[in-house]
Amino acid sequence: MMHPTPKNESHRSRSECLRTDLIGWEIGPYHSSLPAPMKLRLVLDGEIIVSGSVETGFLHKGLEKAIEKHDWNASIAYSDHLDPEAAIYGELALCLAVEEIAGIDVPARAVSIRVILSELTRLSAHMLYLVNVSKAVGAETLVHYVLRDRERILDLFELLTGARFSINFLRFGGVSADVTEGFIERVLEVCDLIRIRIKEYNDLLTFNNTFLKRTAKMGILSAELVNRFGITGSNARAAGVTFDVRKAHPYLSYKSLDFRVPVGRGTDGVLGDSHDRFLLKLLEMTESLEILKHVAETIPSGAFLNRQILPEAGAEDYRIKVPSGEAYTRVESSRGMISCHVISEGGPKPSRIQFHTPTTAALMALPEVLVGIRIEDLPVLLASLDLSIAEADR
Amino acid sequence: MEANAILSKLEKAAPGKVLESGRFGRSDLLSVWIESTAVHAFAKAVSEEPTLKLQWLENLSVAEVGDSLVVSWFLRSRETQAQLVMRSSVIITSEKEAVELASVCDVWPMAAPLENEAAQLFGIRFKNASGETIETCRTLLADDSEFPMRKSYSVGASAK
Repeated sequence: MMHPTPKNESHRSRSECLRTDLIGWEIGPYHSSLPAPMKLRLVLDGEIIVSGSVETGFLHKGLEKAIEKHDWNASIAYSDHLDPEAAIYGELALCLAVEEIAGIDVPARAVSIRVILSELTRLSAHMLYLVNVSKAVGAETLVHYVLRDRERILDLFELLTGARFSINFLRFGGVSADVTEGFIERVLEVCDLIRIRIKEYNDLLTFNNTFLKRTAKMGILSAELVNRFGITGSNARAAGVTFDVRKAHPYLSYKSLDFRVPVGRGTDGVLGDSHDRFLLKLLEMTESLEILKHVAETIPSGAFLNRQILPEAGAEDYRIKVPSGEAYTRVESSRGMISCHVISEGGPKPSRIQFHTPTTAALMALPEVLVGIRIEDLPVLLASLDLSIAEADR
Repeated sequence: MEANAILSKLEKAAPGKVLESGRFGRSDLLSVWIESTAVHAFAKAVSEEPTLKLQWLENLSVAEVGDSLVVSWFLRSRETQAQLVMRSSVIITSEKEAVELASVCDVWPMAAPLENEAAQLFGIRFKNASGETIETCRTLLADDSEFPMRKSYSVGASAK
């Protein structure tokens, strides 16, 4: 879909740049500087972007229609594909909604496993973010270091769920299997490792002069834009807006967990610039490690699944039937708030499952944020906004 | 903010506009039904009401229920923490005809991509305050004669 072209034509650092007549550039839908299939229409004054618009829809999967056409059993697997890099959040938003409709109590052990998976996913997705930003600025060393460490988290997913991506592990009423032997110990080991590594990433890149030149005061997403377009997640928090679903609408066991919600401070540039967003991801990783450590150390024993609406083993009709009703749930994904509206008419298939994802709002702000930046900084800006076209084009 | 308190503020901000109110599902969220012709006026009133300031359209969801399209606007305020589900429905006249509804883009700018998607997938023609149809960018489907999220749409039929 098209997003509006901004009217603001203010420039930055014009004196340093080549100036020409205005020219139009169309990038995409497939281009190495783009995070995923999308089209950018830019107007350039030399190297400076004067205005731009965004078009998406090239990756539309018809996910919500596909979910409607299949049994409830398949809906969790489908919701995995909402965002392949952070699969758990689509599953979780759906499961929470169905559990609210059916009035299912989730066992405490399953809740802890869900929190562990959510925070591991946040770490994994944030690490991928560091990779994308590093790649965009040409800091290859960090790319290799972070990818090496991220493998350790993907190993944990494999150990628990059997899959590194698209884990399809949650079930209505809990999770599909208990934690495997040695999993908790390995989670704690990985937490210790990543804690050391965050310092390493910080030393390597965060305050590196070249990195600061590329990111500080570049791609400023103001609190005004955040409020105007309903932006959530670390993009909003970097602009100073302290909204986190885990605090505002606590789900799972987040209410009882002690963690901070870091916000941008603009210490090395301007509040809400690309550097603030990068720094915030590192701070959020530290908080996720604290949550993980606490939950892994205090995981309760007991059942991992409440089979209230699941069919008996060997039953003739294996299909799940969710009672009539509707629910609206929200979860804090690695990119922001994912909300899910579920309507059930009591049959074996969902009547309607609708997701709203944080990238949709971030894309709306993009035409305003890119005004005034140099064309060479465009890949850095796009990487710093942590866009997932997969979730926007669901 | 309590549901009853929100309801009384709504009555003050937009008198007579609420057709029906109740809890949203099993949650404590207040849900109100609005006549489809009153959507824009109600939206403007609740966003401007100083004690509510419902200025954040969190989500816009459309569902086909029976012979109608039910539209739900999930609203909240960053300042007052008030939350509301505003709902309205429009009757589907024909499976290949779009239905009309007022756009709320001027009230909530974040509505633009959500309305655009609803227009393409469900066949809702959103009209602005002066009654003009908001142009839809058909990026999802080349053919605008069918609406894939309607129940009548047969998956795979258009691939022939």
